[in-house]
Amino acid sequence: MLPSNTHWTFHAEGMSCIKCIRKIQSSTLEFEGLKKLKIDLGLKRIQTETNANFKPEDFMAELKKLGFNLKVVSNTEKHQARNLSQKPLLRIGVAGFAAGNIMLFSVAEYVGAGIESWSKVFLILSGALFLPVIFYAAVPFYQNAYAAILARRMSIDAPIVLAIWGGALISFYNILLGSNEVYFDSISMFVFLLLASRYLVFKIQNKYLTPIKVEDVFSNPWTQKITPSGLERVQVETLNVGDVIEVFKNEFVPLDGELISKEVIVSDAFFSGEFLPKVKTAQDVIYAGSKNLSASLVLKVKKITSQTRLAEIVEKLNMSLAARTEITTLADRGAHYFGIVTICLACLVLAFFALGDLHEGLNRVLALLVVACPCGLAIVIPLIQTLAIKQGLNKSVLIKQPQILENLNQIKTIFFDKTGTLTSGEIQVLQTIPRSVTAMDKKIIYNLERQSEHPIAKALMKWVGSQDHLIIEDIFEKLGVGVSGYYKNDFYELKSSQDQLRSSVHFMKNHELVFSILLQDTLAHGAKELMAFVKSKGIEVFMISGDLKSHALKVAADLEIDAKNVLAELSPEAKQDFVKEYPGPSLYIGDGVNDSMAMSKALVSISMDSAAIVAYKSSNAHILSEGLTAVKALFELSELYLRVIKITVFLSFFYNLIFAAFALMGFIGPLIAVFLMPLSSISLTLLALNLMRVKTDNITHFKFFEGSQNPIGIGV
Amino acid sequence: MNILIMTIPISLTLGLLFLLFYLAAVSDDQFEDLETPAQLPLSDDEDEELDPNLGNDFKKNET
Repeated sequence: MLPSNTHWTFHAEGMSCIKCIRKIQSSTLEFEGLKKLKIDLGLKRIQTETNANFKPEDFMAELKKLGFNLKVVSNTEKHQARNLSQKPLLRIGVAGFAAGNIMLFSVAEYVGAGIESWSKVFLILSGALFLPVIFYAAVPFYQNAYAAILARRMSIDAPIVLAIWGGALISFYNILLGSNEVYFDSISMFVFLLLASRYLVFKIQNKYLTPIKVEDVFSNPWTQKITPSGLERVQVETLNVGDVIEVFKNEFVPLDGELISKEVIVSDAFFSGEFLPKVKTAQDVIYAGSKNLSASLVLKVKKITSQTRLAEIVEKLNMSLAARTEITTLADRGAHYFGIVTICLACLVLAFFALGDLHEGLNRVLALLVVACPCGLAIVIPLIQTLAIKQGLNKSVLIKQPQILENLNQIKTIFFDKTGTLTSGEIQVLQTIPRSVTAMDKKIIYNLERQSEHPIAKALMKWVGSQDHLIIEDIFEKLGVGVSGYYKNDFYELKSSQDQLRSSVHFMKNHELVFSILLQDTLAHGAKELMAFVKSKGIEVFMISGDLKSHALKVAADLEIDAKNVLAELSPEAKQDFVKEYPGPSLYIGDGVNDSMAMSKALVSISMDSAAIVAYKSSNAHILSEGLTAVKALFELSELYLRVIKITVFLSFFYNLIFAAFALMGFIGPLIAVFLMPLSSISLTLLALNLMRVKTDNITHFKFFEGSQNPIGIGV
Repeated sequence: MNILIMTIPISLTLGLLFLLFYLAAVSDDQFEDLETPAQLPLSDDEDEELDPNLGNDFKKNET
């Protein structure tokens, strides 16, 4: 951090709309040392031009007041990001320039303008223009093909490299021999189109794929430290072991620690999947990621950020995400076999001609390599993927890796998380026993629970609706037990209880039970329909939950999930191990931090709209609407996707087979090749566009929530 | 056909010139952010900047 630094770049989480820009601009107009301010919503980045008086700390504090948490972006980070997004653009530019200008010469040549003396000049000029294409623009293909060969797998890049170099060699060879059969135009155009289509897909994917950090879990990096002079607002990362902090109501506990407050209620729903809050007493351990539901929670810090249980989970998660094998797609496998066949054919032809006309043999082999390249496929597949992503958004699914659409068709098992996935995480009144509730009871319940913040109290309030206020004396709320109070000399109590099957609240008058209110966790919207759909496809369903077995069984019964497929009271690691050990391709649908490790082990994973950021980041697809309805739509989209891919792959290889046969027989000259190559690409593109037709309205912006705190919008 | 002696260098120079313009634009980060400029004209009321209470309301606007 040198004071002479004149450029500061910040990453601003939570900056998502145009209003933010206006706000930041207007509130920093007078900021000392700030000369220029550039805001990038897409990257959530603020770039500044400043003089020596600029104090980044103050600037960050200033924007903190507006609700933005800034992080300084280091120069190397900035450099890397720039490299990733700029290099491809430069290559596209060079390839486009070369392709366009070579085309000018070739068209002249084809229509017969190439009078003998000029023809040579044209050839040499196109050759010169072609050099930057093979030595600069096409470099990424070499790198990919090389990496694929090192990893002992075949990618579609290998035949592409063969075609590029095959075409280049045959062209230069022919120039040397004085012939004018060259492929410069088609190859450079091909490279240009390929680079451009891949860049588009990269742009879309890159937006959603970033590594996970512990800080991602908390939208709020600030907390209250208790010092001798009173409460002080400090950044979580500055805290040390032994510090005492106070966590306000509805805030997340930022660090693992030992409870000092006598009694508090915390919710682990976000973390462990248990939907009912827990009572913790002094000296209990509280883990980072729990949400405080009491008025205040005082905690002695035992572990700093990097060592908390949460950090441990995040670290394990990053490791298993890194180890995730890359998905090989149908197109890659197709290219693999096609590549092998082509090379074998080439060898055969060469052997056949070796004793006779070697020059003619070489010519035909190279022509074969050029025509047999599945170029159309290489361009059309990214296009289909982009269209599928768009169509997914239309159906409220954010598809982060389009390849999973192919994998969804192979799924044999689905693992569902319970809280927040199959259930909405909201408590609902099921019924009362033994008698129904009277208007008077409702009034008393309303007035007893009015002041409480407990989730059960809130559910009861919603159930009874708005009522008249009564004067209830001595209202007393005992955490984790219930509330009591006197109304007209009668003593009323609402006592929560939990037995094997369900949780309920007892309504008691003068210590005698009047009736019990049975509670349940509400099923997510569309859960039943999805179950029926999945069963009709013959997919096995598991429920895998961190919650109590009794709760899990109850929900399973409602959804007709086999009781032997219900796994409950599992730690995040246990979930992961189960998913990892289970044979066959599986899909994991979940929302909590505790699901994220298991997600990374499943073939495909989907996170729900209410998902924790960590879960969002480790999933391949993210549901943007409430409930499970969109999952069904995703399955249907995957069927369509696979069908389109299959048709395209088949047609592309069919074309290439015919062309290859012609090339081997020596029928294909440069003129025909130039028309044939784009022809197959164009026809495939049109076909794919038609099959994947989408309406593009309704796609604007979506938001997802981290717990129930700050919304973070992502523009699409 | 001698006209080609002039037109070929001209076309190549023009092409190169545009390529250089493009490369300069890329290095100047003009293609970095395609989102913000597109949204800027859509933001209406300028008076918002003058509203001193906006800071407090900000979170509400977000949701």
